[in-house]
Amino acid sequence: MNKTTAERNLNNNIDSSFKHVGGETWYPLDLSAIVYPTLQRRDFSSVYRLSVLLKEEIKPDILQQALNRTLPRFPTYKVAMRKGLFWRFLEPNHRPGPFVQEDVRNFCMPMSFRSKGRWLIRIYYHGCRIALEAHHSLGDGTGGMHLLHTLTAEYLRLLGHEIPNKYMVLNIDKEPHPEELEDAYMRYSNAKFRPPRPMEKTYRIRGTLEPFFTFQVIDGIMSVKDVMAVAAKYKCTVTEYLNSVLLYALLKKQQDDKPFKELPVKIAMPVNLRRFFPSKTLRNFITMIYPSIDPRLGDYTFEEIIKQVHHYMRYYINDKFLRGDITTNAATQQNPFIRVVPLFIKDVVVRTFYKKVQDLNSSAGLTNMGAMKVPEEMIPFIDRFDIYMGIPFSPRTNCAIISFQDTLTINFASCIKETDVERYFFTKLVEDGVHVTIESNR
Amino acid sequence: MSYCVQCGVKLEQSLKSCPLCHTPVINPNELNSTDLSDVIGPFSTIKGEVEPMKKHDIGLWLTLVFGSTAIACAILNLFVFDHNYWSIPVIGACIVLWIFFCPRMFLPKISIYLNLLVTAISVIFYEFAITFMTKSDRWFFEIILPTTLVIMVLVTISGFFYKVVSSSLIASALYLFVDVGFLSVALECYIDRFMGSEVHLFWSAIVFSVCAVISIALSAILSIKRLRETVRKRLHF
Repeated sequence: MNKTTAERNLNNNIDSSFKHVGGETWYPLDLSAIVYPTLQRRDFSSVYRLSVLLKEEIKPDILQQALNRTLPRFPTYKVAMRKGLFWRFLEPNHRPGPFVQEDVRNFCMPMSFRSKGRWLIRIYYHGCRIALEAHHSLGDGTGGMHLLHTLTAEYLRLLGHEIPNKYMVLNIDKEPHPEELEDAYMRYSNAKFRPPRPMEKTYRIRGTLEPFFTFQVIDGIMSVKDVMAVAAKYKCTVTEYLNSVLLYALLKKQQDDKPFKELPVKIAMPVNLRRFFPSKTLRNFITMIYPSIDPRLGDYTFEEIIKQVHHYMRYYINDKFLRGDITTNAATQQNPFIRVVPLFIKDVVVRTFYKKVQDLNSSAGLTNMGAMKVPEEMIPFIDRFDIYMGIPFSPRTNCAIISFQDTLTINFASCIKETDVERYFFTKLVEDGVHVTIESNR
Repeated sequence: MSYCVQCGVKLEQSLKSCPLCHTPVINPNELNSTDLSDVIGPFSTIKGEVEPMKKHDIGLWLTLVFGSTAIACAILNLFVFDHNYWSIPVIGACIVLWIFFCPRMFLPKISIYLNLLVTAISVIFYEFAITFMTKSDRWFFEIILPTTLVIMVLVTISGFFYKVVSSSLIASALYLFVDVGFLSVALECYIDRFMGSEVHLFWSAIVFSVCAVISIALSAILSIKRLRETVRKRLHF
């Protein structure tokens, strides 16, 4: 594609990513975001949490000032959800707030957006921690992380420190770049073939549900160097290694359950598409891949699991496969028959499909945000970052990984009492020589 | 900070037991200072209140759907297709459905038993209204009314067990089979009486026996925890 065509595509896509209504800008939900509100239940919202642990105690009044100054720079986060006849939209929210609040034990609580003007983000503080919770309809972890970094930088500036705008710290005095607000899926959903979606029943962790609404987390904190050394020993990357450890833990759990019929063990892993398709969007731009092991084919050693995951990642994580995946997903939304179906029917169909097919397609979730880069001037003030994928749709465990400097944090979030998967996961790391420190709200 | 003797992980200072294997933390060097209440943990201890989901809009939408259907049928019956009272069953069905679904949308705290009682009364009135379209009301008093009452009692008892005892898949299956067993016996009794013959259990005895066997098996699974967990894990549900 030559440069002029690419620019034309970008401009067309930006134009279709928002609509001007009565002097205000409304944003249709992006391709991923369409699904999340339909899954809303009394005890479930697609809410994720990002947090930063600073080295000094947080001053709430300063944090509120920083938030007030930062949020207008992120128009797709300063919104409320609105329901149309056929689709949902994000409309600018002019109500007071959001207000910073003392953190809670059961975080990632459901966010109700049925009433008008509800905020879809929450900002918490506790001790030295600033936490941002956002509804997935607004954006993915990368988008949320831009907001958290910019907020933290502004907070530090208000405390008198000089922090430049670099990496994920955006300039709050500038207007947002139109590309930040685009639905980037539509720009790249142009493969000539639509590969079918994986639809296979996989092993599900069965456990005792915690009472409504309990959110249990177990955080493992370790040295990046330790994990890299172990990954190098197995001749794989850190992501491949940690994926393999989770698959290994799930396989062990299934063996413990002694089922009559074993099922494949599969991990749903979001891939950040910005790595393959240039876009500055702060909205959702991820797709899922599913590394898996099928125990029906035989017993796998840990080395064999690593080899399988390594080759799966090499084979699937490239622009060709990912473009095909985006095209398959976009085809449903672009179908003219689906477009004219009223929203409440779409909601029922999407929810049923997700419940009966998509949700059964993975045994656990794992996301790796990678290494966080912040301006050098910010480094002395930050201890570490955390990320939580939020409460799972069905009883299972979600795992999220993030690193900063030499600290790698693995956050498990779950709504069941049993902790077998987490135990197998961390004890495997310990066996491999990684020194793990555990924190938990259990 | 201590290490878990089972898992080998280092535990954060405020933890009293290992969150992975639940082994209590005992640090031999700190036996005299086991009070951890002053240690501030990394997580807040405040419990957040989850906002109740408002279902007013769904309630309003359902009211609109049922209301407009009933009114449209009534108008058509009065002015267009006026050869009989065909709209009565449709209007009655709309009222019964509204009574079953909508009060909970507007009043989330309403008792489920009260809702069931009101629904059962409305169903009885609905069935009685249909007798005006038939030559005799004997079928109503001898079959439909007692059957409705039996269903109401069974549903109420099952609802109580579902809410108070267990709402698992196996427990729900148990309630269903018990209800079907008793209902089939009651139904055959009422049918025999209506037909004027002596009460003689035949098909309902077979249904009841099958339901009883299944219910005993399910009760055994439910009452033995190990067996219950094994069934859940082995059958992947």
